[in-house]
Amino acid sequence: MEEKILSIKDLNLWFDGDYSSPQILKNINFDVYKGETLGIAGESGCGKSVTSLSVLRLLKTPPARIKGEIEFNGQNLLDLPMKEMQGIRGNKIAMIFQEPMTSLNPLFKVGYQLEEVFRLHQGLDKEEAKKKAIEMLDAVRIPLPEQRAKEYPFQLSGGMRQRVMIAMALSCRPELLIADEPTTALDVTIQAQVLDLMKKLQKEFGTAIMFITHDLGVIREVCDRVVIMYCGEIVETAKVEELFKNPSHPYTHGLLSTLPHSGSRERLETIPGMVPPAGKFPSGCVFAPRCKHACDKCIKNKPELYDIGNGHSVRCFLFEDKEVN
Amino acid sequence: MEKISTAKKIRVFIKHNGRIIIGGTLVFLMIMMAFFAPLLTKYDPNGTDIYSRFEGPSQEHFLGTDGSGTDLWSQIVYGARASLLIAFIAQIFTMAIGATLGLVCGFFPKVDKVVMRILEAINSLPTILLIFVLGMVFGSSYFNLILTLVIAGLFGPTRYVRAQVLSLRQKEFVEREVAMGAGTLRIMWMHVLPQCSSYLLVTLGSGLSSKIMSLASMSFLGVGLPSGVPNWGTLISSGQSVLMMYPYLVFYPMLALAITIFGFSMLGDGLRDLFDPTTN
Amino acid sequence: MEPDKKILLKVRNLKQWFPVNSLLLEKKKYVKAVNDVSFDLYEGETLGIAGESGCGKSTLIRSCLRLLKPTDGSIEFDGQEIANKKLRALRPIRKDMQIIFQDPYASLDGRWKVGRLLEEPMIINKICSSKKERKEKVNELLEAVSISQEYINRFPHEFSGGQRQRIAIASALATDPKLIVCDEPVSALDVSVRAQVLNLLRDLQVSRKLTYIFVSHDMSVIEYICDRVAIMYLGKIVEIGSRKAIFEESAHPYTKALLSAVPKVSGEKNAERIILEGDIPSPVDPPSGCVFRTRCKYATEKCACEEPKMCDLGDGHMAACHLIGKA
Repeated sequence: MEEKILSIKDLNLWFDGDYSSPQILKNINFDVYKGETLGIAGESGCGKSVTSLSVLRLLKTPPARIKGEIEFNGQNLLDLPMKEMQGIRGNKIAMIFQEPMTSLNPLFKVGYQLEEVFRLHQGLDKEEAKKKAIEMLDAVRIPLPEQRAKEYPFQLSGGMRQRVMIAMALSCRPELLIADEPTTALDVTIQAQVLDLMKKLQKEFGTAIMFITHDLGVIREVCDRVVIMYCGEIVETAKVEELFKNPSHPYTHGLLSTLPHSGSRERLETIPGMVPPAGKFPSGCVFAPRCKHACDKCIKNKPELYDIGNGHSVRCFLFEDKEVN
Repeated sequence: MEKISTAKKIRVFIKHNGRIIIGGTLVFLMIMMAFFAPLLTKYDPNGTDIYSRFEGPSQEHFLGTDGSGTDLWSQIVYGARASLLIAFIAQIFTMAIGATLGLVCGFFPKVDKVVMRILEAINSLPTILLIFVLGMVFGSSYFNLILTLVIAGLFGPTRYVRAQVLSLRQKEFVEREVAMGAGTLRIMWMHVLPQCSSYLLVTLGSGLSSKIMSLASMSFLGVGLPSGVPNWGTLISSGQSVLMMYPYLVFYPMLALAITIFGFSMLGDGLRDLFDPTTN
Repeated sequence: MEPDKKILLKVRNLKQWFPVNSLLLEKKKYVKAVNDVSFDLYEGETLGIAGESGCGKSTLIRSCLRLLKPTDGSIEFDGQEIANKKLRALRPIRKDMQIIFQDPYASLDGRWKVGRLLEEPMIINKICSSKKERKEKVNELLEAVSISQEYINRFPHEFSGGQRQRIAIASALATDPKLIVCDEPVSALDVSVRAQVLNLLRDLQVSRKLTYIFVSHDMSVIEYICDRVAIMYLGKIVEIGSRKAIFEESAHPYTKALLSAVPKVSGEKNAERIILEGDIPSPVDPPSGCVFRTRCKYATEKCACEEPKMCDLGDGHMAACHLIGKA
């Protein structure tokens, strides 16, 4: 059996507001294995970004209130003092965001910002850090790394900046990389470059990646396993090929059939209604109000995640006869 | 949906709007004071009484009297009238003229170049110097006083509305309005001005406090209200010559001025937070 | 395309340049956002304009709608030359060409209720003079985009993204336009409501005999909704043709790369994906000759010195590449 590096157990999260405390995440359970890419997919408001932020404990508490366990290499991150947590961030778990411009300091040259990572986390001296920084820029396939290192973030294109972010994230050889919509702001041809790069680097560095995106095409491209989230719950999880071959939850099925398929101009299927806002998540099955298979039971009771074999589990009463995962 | 109790609603409102409540109360008290001045004092703010000069606070004279034996409390109470009224009128005109100029500058680049250069020139002078010079040139009548205050305060609202116009013109809903066939005037009136209204409402608070301050400064310097009109600036200015012996003659008018300015500023800040979605 | 089909919009050699602030004594520079673009739009069809950010697709449609004053070139809409018309003279024409934007949050004035938003274009263009007529028309529009009439007194922020986009569509329909330009209309929407809006646009085209220009960076959406497609790169149309021609018989190397870069959710995974090197060059200083040559693996010396002309491949399929002339 492969080695688990991250294991999220019964993660629950609320945002305490003035009048109510909507629950944003409900009983999230999943593992990330060494060296794999786990995709987390869902529409806006499904809780995928919040999940990743709570792994790094980047959410302000309060208003956020977290319950559950986030085990990283056997250690519960939620129990760690902030000081130790800071040692893990960037070093063992790194993160890249959708918009690299806001995560780079506009006042410093990119080379310097990379050097700083080496000096802070690895205690290298200036010369060595500089050499390492240029090595890293080269590793993320930035042409002319010596010159690029002397440029400021605004002088780089969006794709280049995202490469710099990846270089920074990987510079300490983290065991886990959390990528939150890393290619959403990029053009398709640039997205193809960055995805290709991430796959190559993952092989080189052996990093596990938690890849968060709303784009199912991208998930299919880069991930090994995938978790589909809807309204703060995991509705389906499977290996990627299995999920695209045999989407079982009506939501996943619906999502895939609403997308235009190449070569076909048949009228698109639609999912009626819309994603409910936080705090108004249905109490039974979260997808029941929009589901064509929904019955009374779905509205009243919450289904478990049923194991339908081959590492594929679905939270839907259609698979009730199967074992609970 | 659970029911939210009224008590909780009030608690939350106070938590988020403390400044509006404090500022609003102070401003309300000041306005009431100015409005009901004759009911709050039995003395004439211009009356003299040589038998009771420089009397300290007593039962007879709540805050004491000045060198002419005039009751200080009645001067402060009546002084609120002139200060608040003139400041209010001047502020309304500043905003109206400023907004109009801002709209015109935002939509017509040629006018923009001329008007903004003039306003920048005016703004580059220290405010106190500017109002002093303008006050000297125009002389002290109510109209000229208001004119002075308006000119000195024009830069802020003009620049803001102009900036709003320039950024709103890039917005898609304005672009769509153009695509629908709307003319410039319609866009100004129906879309741009309403967007600026919350800002204008908010600056009413801070603008008023600065106008009251300027008015007091002008009166202090002797270029303000005509003599015989009780107001805080003149009070402070005349008390200042006997400051060492009778400090209360300066202290109480200053206190009234400070409370008013504090109240308006608090109200302005609170309203800004309420209307500006980025701070929520 | 049958040759007798009526041309609704005819664009010839359109240029839209923006001056860049340059240093004193430096030669004046321009961002050539749209540089020498020509195309025809036939009545009743959907023309897709695809390309990556910075290719000039948004600028192109804004020039065509005369939200910008073109630097040079001609635009003929419904038989009238509009490229040089004064703004005031354009107003009566505007009701025939409407636009839908990407972000339904930004394109509706949040201070107005839905009913008022929909009446606005009628008031501006003096359609339906009486209040009663306008109310009837508003109800009819809301029905057309399947939004309940109860919502007439709500503000835009009370709606979800998909509903708001429907309202924007309804307001574009209010003047019964001939042409609707859709600028990335589904890009800001959640995946599960995208299909609803795409289907709605298709239905409206049939029921109201609309012509669309559909701008998107999403090739799968373009393929779904468009009859003809133009591919733009650095201010130029590099290839234009019917949907089939572009998606199955694409000729230009850029089109091929663009199509292969799209991650697919169904069918075969792209086995041999073409990954383009480098970034899009700056439109201030586009490469000489063919604009794509800096990223093209087939580029030769000829591409650097000579600009490729549009080459007719038959059936209105045209591409600008030196390779095609040879083959």
